[in-house]
Amino acid sequence: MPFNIGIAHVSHGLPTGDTNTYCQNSTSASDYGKCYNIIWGKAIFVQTDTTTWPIDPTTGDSFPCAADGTCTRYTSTTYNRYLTTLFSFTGKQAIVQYIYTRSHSVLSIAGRITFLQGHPIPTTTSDCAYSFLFPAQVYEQATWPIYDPVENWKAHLNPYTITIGRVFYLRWQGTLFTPVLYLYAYEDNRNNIWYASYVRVVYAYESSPLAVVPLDYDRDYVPHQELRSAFGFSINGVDQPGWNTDDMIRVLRELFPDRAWAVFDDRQYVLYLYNLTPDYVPDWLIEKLSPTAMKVIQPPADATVAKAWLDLLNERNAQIPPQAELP
Amino acid sequence: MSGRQPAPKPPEPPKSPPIQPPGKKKVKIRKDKKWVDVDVDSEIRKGRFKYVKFVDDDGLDTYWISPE
Repeated sequence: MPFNIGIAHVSHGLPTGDTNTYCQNSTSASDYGKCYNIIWGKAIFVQTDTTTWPIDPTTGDSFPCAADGTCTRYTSTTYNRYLTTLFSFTGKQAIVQYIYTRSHSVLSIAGRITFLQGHPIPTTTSDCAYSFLFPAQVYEQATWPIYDPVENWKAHLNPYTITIGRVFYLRWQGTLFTPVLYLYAYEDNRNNIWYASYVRVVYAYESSPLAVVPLDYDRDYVPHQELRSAFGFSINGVDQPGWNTDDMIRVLRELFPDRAWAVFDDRQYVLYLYNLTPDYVPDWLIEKLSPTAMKVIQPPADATVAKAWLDLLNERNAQIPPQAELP
Repeated sequence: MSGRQPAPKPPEPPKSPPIQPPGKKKVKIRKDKKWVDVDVDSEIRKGRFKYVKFVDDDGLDTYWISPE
């Protein structure tokens, strides 16, 4: 096949369906700092006051939603919040084709639709203002949903109501060639804010040998120039194109001798397994790659290593992401 | 027309049964654009596909796609 398709999901508290997910940011409320109906991942809450809500190295964060695991608390404000890297292909390009984002946020829309505060959006730069998604500096805000036939995006405001805050949808379809795609949210240096979101991105890239290993971009991938020379990063851990199967196996063996990983040779259609056996390879990955053969470079010395690879891969490629709970 | 009779064919040597390690099943797989007989240790099913397990020439445990 000349092209592969990659799908990336990122969720900060929201499921794929509609739900009454919100956090309480009224400081006079008895449930201040709590988040509700967190279905998938964690909401984001910015609260800089570490005197009232300290972070103890042993007992952890005392802020209510951070303490009960329903939010990620940030203790510093920022203009644009970097959330994650969706993909980063050194020396290769992907073609972004489809983006769907939905957010619940206590923040409002600024500058007409140009700046969506508290709405995580995929962007090729670190500044949301320069995102390809928002070309129109001034747009009619009075009529929702908005459809821009030139840029081919559609936006909804409050298609359903939540207890606190507003709901925003954005859908874009087009063609964007880029080697990198980040997820940022515009916060405008605000404190005491929260937002929850669900983002889905579909992209294509040229058929290549793939490194099938879910990595943490900032901790595992970026520090190693050798990895970046061998293959690209994708948040789903699968669509990570490289150039040469042997190089990919060599560098992974060198850097991650104790982890489980796989490399797919797209010429021979062979899936090489390291610290894995086919028992741990999920059926959806077999359906996607259709390997002619699987070869075990090294069987798993410890089943937990192989299981960790499978669990993380399944989590990042949820075939049936969590749905909204019925009332 | 010649009256010569063709020489009788020598009897074919009896075919020896294929050498098959005990407990191993012989399966034909399509490899390098040829049909190859391999002694398989086991079969597994992944998704829509069936794979047979054997030790390949490179010494690695290999699971090769196999026709039903």
